[in-house]
Amino acid sequence: MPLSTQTEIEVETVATSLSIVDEGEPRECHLTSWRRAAIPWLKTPSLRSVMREPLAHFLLAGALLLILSSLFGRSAAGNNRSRIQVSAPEIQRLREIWTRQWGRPPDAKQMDNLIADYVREEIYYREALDSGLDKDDTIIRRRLVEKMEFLSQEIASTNDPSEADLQQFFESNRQKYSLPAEAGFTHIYFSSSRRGAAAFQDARDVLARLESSQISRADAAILGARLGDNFMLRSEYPPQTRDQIKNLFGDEFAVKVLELESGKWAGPVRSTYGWHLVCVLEHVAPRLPALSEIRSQVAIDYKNQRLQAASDGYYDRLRKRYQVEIDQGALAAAKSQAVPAPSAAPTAGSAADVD
Amino acid sequence: MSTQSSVLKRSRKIASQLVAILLISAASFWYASDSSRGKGATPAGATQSAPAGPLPAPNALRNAYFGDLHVHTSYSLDAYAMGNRNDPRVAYRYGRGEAVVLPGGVRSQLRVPLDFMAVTDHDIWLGEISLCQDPADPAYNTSICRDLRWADQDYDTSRTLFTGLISSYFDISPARHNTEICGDVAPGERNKCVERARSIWKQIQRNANEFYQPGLFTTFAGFEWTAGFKRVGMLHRNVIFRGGKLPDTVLSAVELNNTPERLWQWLERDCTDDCQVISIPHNTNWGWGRDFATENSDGSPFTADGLKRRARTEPLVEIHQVKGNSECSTGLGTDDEQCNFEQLFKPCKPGEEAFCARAADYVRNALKTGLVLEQQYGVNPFKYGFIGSTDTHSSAPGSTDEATWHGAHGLTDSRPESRLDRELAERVPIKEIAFNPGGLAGVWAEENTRESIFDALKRRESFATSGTRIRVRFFAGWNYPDDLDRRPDLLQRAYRDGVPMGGDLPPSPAGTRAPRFVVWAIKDPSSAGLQKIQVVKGWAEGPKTFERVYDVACSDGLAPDGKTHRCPDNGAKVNLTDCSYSSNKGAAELSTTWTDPDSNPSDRAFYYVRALENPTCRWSTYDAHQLGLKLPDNVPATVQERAWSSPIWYTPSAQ
Repeated sequence: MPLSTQTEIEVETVATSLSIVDEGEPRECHLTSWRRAAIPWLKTPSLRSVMREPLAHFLLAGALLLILSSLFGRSAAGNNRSRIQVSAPEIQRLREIWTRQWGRPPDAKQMDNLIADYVREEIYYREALDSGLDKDDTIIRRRLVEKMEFLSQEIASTNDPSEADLQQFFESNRQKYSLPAEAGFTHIYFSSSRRGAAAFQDARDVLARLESSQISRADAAILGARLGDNFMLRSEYPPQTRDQIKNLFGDEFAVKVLELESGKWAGPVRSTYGWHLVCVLEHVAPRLPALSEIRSQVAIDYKNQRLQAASDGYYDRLRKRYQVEIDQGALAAAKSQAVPAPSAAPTAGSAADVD
Repeated sequence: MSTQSSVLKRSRKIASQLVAILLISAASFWYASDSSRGKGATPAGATQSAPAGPLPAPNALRNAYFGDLHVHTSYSLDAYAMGNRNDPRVAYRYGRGEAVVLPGGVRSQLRVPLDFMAVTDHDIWLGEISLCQDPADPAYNTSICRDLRWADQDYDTSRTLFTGLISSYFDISPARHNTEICGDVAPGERNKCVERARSIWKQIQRNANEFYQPGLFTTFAGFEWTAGFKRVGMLHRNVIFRGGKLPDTVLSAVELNNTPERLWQWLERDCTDDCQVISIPHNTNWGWGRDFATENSDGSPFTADGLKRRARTEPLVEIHQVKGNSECSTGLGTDDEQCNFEQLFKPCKPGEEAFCARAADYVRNALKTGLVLEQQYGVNPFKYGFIGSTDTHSSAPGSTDEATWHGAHGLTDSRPESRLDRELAERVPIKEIAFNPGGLAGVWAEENTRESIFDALKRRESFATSGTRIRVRFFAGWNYPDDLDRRPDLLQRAYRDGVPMGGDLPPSPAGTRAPRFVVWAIKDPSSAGLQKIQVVKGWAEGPKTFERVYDVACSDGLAPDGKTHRCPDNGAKVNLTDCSYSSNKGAAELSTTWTDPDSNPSDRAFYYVRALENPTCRWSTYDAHQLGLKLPDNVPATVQERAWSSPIWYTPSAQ
C-alpha cells in the first residue's frame, strides 16, 4: 500500500496551527465578536487565500488530535491528562453564550449548572475520543462535510461586487444580455367589441385622413381617442420587445409592429382587442447594452453566479491538495460484478480519477 | 514531563482552536445566510433585461400593473417542511420572469413577468427555521430540526413530515415558540429565536432591495403575520412596507399573543415618519367566523379608536388565493349563483365549528356589516379594497395559469397525482383538489415604483383577479354623462368629476339623480373572451343589510333582462377532451355607463364590479388529461376566471 502523502500535510499543519496559537489568538471571543472580527477578514479578497489555511486546519485538526492522542494518549492518562481546567476565558464564554441565548446573564445557580454541564461534556468528549468513537461514524462524517459546505458558501462573500468585478463578469457573459429588437410606438384603437366588423374600415378611413392632413404625431396621440376608441392600455409605449408587445396586444400585433416603417402612420394592424393604426416612433435594433444600462441585473446575476461557483471552486482548491489513489484492480473487479444498469446511469467520473 | 505537558497543552490549544473555528463558521454562516442557497435556481439568465434607463414619465391617468403580494419561500416554516429550499432571491427571480426549478424538479417560467411582488414569509418560526440550519447552534441537533432539514429528500418524506407538522399545528395553534429549539421560555419573552428573527428580518429587507428595479420590477419588504386560534383558525395578515426606515424587528404573532389589535398598535408605534405600512387580511374563508367578527379578538367590544386604527392599517383584503375564494359563498348571506366559485369549505352544519364556512367568513358580507358598524361607531372597519395573490409555498409567485400549474406546496403537491387525490393531512379534512392556482393583485398606478404602487394599494385603487390578467376600471360620479364610457375624454372626466375604485362618492348634490358608474373591462390576451360585467351592490337600511347583483354589460350583442338583471347565456362552450373553447364567443372588451336603478340617497351603500370570462378548463382537468384519467367528479371541470374591482362607497351626508 502506498503511504499517503497526507501525513506530510499534517506535519505542515501542525507548524502553522501552532504558530497561530502562539500568536495569542483571542479564544475568549464570544460569537458576536468573532463575527465582528472574522467577517471583514473573510471579505478582504487579498486575504482570501489566508482564509483557506484555517479551514484546512479545521479539516485536519481532528486528525491531528487523533495522532496526538494515539502517540501520547496512554501515557498521558496520568494527572495532567485527567485535569480539566475551566479557565476564566472559558467561564466568560459560557456566560456570553447563555446571555446571547436567553437575553439576560445567568444567575449564580445557572452559572454553576453551566460549569457542571461543561465539565460533563468535556469528560465525555475526551473519553469518546480516547475510545475512538469519532472514527468511522457516518453521522460525524456527514456533519463535518455539511459544515464544510456551509463554509464554502461563505467564501463567496456577499459584499457588493466591485465595478471591476462586474465589468469583467459582464464582458464574459455579454451574449446573455443581448437585447432583441424593440419598437416604441403610438397607436389609435378601433374596438371590435364596439364597432364590430366596421372597426377595420373605420380604421382605414382614419388612416386616409391622417395621411392627407398633416396631423402631427403629438396631435394624433392626443386626438387618438377622438379618432378611434378609448383604449385601456397605454396609447404610447417606449421601446418594447416582441415578447412585451405580445403580452399586451397578442403576437400578431407584435410581429407587425416590429416590421413597420418608423415615423408614419400605418395599419390597420390587428390585436387581441380590435384594429389599430400604429405609428412607430423608434426602432431599436438588437444590441448589446452597456453595463450601465443593466447594472442592477448584472449585479444580481453576478452574485448568483458567484454563489454557484463558490462551492465548486472551494472544493476544487481543496481537492488539489490531495492525492487520491484508488485500487484500480479492486475497482475493476467491483465493476465487473455490477449488474448492468437498465439505463445508462451517470458515472461518478471523479471517483475513478487518479492524480 | 515538560515535553509531554507542552504537547498536551498544544493539543488542548488546538482543541480550543477547533472550537474557535467552529465559532467562526457559525458566525460566517449567519453572516452569509443572506447568500442565496437556492439550489433550485438556474444559472444566471437574462430573460428580462430591459435597460434601466431613465423612467418614462408617470402617467397621470394611471397604468395597470399586476403583482403577487403573498409569497412563501424556504424562510417559512411550513414551506421549508414541505421540502421547498428556494429562498426569497429565487422567488424574486421567478417573479421577474426567469426560469427556475421548482420543488419537485419542474423547470418553470412565467409567461408574463410580474410587475411587482412581495415575499411574505411567516413571522412565526423565522428564528426557529434559521437556527435549525445553523450547525453551531444546539438547536441544529434537535430531532425536529433534523426532521425539517430532511424534508427535501424526497416526495414521500416531505409528505410524511408535512402531514405530521400540520397535525402538530393543532397543538401549537395559536402559535408559540418551539421550546426544543428556542429554549423553555414563555411566549413573548426575548429568546434566541426572537433574536435570530431580527437578523432574518434584516435579510428580508436586503433581498427586497436587491431586486427592486424602478420602472420595471417593484419589490416590497414584508412578512406574513400568522396569528391563529383553535383548530388552525387563521387571523393571518400580510404586512407590506412602502419603504423608509422599517421597524427594527418583526414582532410575530407569538410576541403579540395572536392579537391583531396589538399588531396594529405595534405598526403604528414603530412604523413612523417615512415608514408606511399596510396589513392585508386573507383566507377569511379559513377564519371560522372570526376574521370579520363584530368584537375585538379577545371578545371585548369595539371602540371607535380601535376601529380607526384598524381602518387606517387595513385598507385591503385578499379575496382570492390558492386556498380558496373569500368573496362570497352561495347560500351564506347571498343567493348569487356566481359565488359558488373555488369554495374550499361547505357551509357549516349545526354544531360544526371548524373546516366549514359561515356567512361571517366572506368579504361581501363583511362589507355589508361594515356599513352598519359605521352607523354605530362612526368608522367602518371593513372598508376593504380587493387584491388577489397566490399564497404559493413553492417560491413561485404569479404562477396562476390553470394549464401549467405545478402546485403551491413544495414537494407535497408537486405531482399531479397528489394534487388530484390527496387529503391534505389526517386532521385537516381538505382534499388538495379543492385548491386552485390562486389570484393576482392589480393596481392602477402612475408608474412602476414602490411609492406609486404602494400609494395605489393604500387608496384602494386596486383589483383582484382569479389568476388571469383581466384589466378592469371602475369610476363613480354624480354628474357623469350617460355615455361617458364612449367619450374620448373618458378618463380625464372620470377622475375629475368622480372617484375611481376604492374611493368614496361624495354626498349627493342637491336635486340629485342616482349615482352613475363607468364600468370597463378588457380580456387577458392569453385567455378566453369576457362573458359579462356585473355590478355588485350592498346597502344598509338601519341595521338591516341587503345586496343585489346587476349584469350591466353582456357580450355577443346581448342585453341584461330587465327583471332578473341577468345576461342571457352567450353559449360559450369548452371542449373537455382538449380544453379548447369557443373562440367566436365572448368580448375582447366590455364597457358601459350604468346608473343605479334602485338608488336611495339615504342608504349607505357600496358598489363593486365583477367581470367574468367565458369558461375554460380548470387545472384539475389538465392534470387528469396528463395522467390519462377520467375527469374528477368532485370539482367542476371548468372555471370562469374573473376580476373584481375594489368597491366604491356611498355615505349619505349627515342628517
